[in-house]
Amino acid sequence: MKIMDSELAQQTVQYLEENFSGWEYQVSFHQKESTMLRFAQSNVHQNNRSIQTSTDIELAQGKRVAKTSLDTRNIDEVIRSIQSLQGICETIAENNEFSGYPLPPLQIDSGKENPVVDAKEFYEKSLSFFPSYFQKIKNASLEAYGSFLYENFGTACVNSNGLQNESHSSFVQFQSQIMKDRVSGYSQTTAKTIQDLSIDRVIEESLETCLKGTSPSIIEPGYYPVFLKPEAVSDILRMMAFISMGTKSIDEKRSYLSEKLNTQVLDSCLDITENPLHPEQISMYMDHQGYPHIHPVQLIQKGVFRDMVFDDKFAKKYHKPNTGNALPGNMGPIPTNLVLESATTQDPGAMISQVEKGIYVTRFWYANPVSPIDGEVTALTRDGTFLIEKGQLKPIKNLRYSDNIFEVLSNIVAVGSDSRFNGSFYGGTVAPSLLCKKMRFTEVLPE
Amino acid sequence: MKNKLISYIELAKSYHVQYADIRFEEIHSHDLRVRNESVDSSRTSVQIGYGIRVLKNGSWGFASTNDTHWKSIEEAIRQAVQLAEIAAQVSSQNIQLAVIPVVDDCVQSVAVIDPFRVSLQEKIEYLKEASSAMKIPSIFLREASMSFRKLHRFFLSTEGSFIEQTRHESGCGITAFARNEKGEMQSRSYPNAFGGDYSTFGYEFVQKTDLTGHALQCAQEAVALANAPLCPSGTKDIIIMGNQMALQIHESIGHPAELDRVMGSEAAYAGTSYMTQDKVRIAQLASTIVDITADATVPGAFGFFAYDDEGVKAQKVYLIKNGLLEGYLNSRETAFKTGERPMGAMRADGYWNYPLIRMTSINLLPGNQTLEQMIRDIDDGLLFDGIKSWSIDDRRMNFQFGSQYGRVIRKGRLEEVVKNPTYMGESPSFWNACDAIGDESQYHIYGVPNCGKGEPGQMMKLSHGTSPARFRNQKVGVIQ
Repeated sequence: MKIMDSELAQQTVQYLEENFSGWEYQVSFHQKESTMLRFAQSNVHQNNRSIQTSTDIELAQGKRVAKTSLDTRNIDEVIRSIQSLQGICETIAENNEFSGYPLPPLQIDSGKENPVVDAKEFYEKSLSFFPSYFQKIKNASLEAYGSFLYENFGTACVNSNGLQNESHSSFVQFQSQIMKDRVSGYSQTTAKTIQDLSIDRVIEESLETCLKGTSPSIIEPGYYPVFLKPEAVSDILRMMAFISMGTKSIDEKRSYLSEKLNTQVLDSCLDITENPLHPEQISMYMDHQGYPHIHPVQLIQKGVFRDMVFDDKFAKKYHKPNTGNALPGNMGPIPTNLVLESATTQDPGAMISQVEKGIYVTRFWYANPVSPIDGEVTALTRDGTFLIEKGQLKPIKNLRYSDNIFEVLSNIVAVGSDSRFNGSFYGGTVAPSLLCKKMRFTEVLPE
Repeated sequence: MKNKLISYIELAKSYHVQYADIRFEEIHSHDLRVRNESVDSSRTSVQIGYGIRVLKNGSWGFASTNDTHWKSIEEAIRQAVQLAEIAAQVSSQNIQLAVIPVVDDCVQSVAVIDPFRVSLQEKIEYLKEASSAMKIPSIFLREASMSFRKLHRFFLSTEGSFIEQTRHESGCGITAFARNEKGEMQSRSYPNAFGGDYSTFGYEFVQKTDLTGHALQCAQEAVALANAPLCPSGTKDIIIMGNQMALQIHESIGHPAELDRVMGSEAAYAGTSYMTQDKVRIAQLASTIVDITADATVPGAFGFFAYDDEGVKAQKVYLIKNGLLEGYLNSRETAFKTGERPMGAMRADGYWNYPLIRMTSINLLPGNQTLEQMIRDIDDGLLFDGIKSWSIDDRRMNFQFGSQYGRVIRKGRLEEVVKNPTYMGESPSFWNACDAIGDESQYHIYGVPNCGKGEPGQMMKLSHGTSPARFRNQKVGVIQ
């Protein structure tokens, strides 16, 4: 059923229309159904099924704006909250940064329908593959850890300018970490349907990585050429989007990309696009203001910083089209569906074979900015770190890197042909493996 | 409410479960932020719903709903049972719970002034005044914020425990952003970064925090940072001030002391722990002057509560005693496995999530040194103040932390300001290098509103009591 057809949505909009003519408002109705099975030591030890609805309401009188979030389905509670917002608007000072809500755009529909994941099918799949998966891992004298989950979610938005939009999406994810003592291997698959998951590939990859990792040696910290698997590249891209590609932080000169428009910031072989329509991307095709998020934006073209993403407020400020990148809260527009590509790609195996001496990274852990304006980030390697010597992988202990992530991606030797989707907040990234000339590893993790 | 919960628990029992509990929660919150004396956002929220946890055939199942009609709750109970049955079919575990006393209790909030009864106008004026007091040259952005929550929780288990708890949460803070002539930016916060400080007191906590009284110093330090040289690199003696010590305790003692991590059930996401069970009362994980407790019994602390989400009464236990690993944060499930007593650390961030082992108030007990004494005994050192950046490995061994504000210590004196100060180390050797802890007069319990753990991700509220402390021969300044 469409969210807008629900009794709560109908009654809420009717109440606002009847009682708040002359006011500006924006209402978002959210719906989420999710189930997660978590496993550790080859047992499903935790699980969580949740069916949630919530409503976000913003009311504005001139530049006096107040917001509320409600997860109640009781219309009387919703009306009480709207009345309380009215009281807040009458008390509150003007917010000079408020610039109204978006007008309805010419095009709303992405032309794409997202499939819905069926709970029964999810349970059947769980019962069919977990026993053989756990048995396979036990037979290798190892233990399986990870999660299997799906989420169906949707949002309907209405505002006082007549914009009304609704979109739904779904994803299924399987993550496998195989471990023995302190050696581990990891892989993941995320897709729109259960059928599209690559469960066998993930099990094989995580198992193989773990088996290869026994008896890791220690290497000296320093600069090394680095082969980054798609998951590791995605970890870097997520951080780049969060600390550097947000239009608000660029505008407020808090970003590495501030005042660098049309400047070379990455290797000339790399293109980065915000593309919710990419076939592997998970997207709702609209943003948190209900504005369509259906047009790709070329952010980095041949390594040159070309464009930013916009919500209604920043589109007005920069006289640019709204790209549908409004997010909840005050963080401003941030790209959520990044796709990293290159005109020329190579088989990942061939990329590794050309490395004389370098580091192979499966994924990173606990990345945090050290100095966002300098692009300085620190993180640790995890679940499969190897020394590449003459194209051969030898297990090594995990490492910490501290480096400028723009510099790391400014020296690309080769780009892989193994692009893969990795989910994150409000979307995800599609990225291949990368072979980079150098990355600064500052610490070796102890025993 | 009790009768409703009894009927739900009776329904759960009809599915032949070994154990079940149900939580009903109603949470009201209000977040208010002022930027450059203008109200940036005023956001309220209401969350109401049920979370049902069942143990059947040796496996857990959990489901939640915010639809409070009988049919939806009935369906949630059925789904929790179904998940437990699926988990049992594919697993070989046999989860059992340590025995706890059955209780029937009602516990009220310790707030004196209900923040939800303070007028919006008064709150805005308070923040605008603090923001305005940061208005000095080079400060281009001034932020002041406060946030409040009011929780009403009910808990009922198949064992017969019924608990009703109310709790208030109050927090506030300011941040000044300065830019130098080259356009480089630095920020400084009071009383801490990430929204300030938090407690389970009422609005009186905000009044006591006195944002305006500290605003000018906060702004001046931001300007000093914007014009300061970079933190030097090398090996130095360091002093870590209280708000940064809270992070140090959190990441390198609190998380590794969670017994679910130690036993491997969080390995895939949050990771494991260096505090393995073979180290209990044997391994010297810190110097002998270090005593650290998990104490949920201090009224007003952000990690204060009466009962956890398994109905276990809040307690004070030692995690580190005389530098030795003394015990863990546990749950009924992990306590059964170790044969220990449950200490009351199983908490969920809301009715929509199952409880996990979480920190309560993890406190480094005060020592006997004044700050001046600690500085006086340093020939070549650095002082770190205010949380800026943190990263630690999945066993909680190797860390790199950054502070907002650094000061060089030279021959026993505090000297110039340095920006982007960072230090790094390995948890046990770092804590073994602790040779001085500040006295009781410097002790403060810092509220942490955003501790992430678990899948789906949960944000827990907790706290850390600490004074400043000194650590000898630490690596500093990695980024240069």
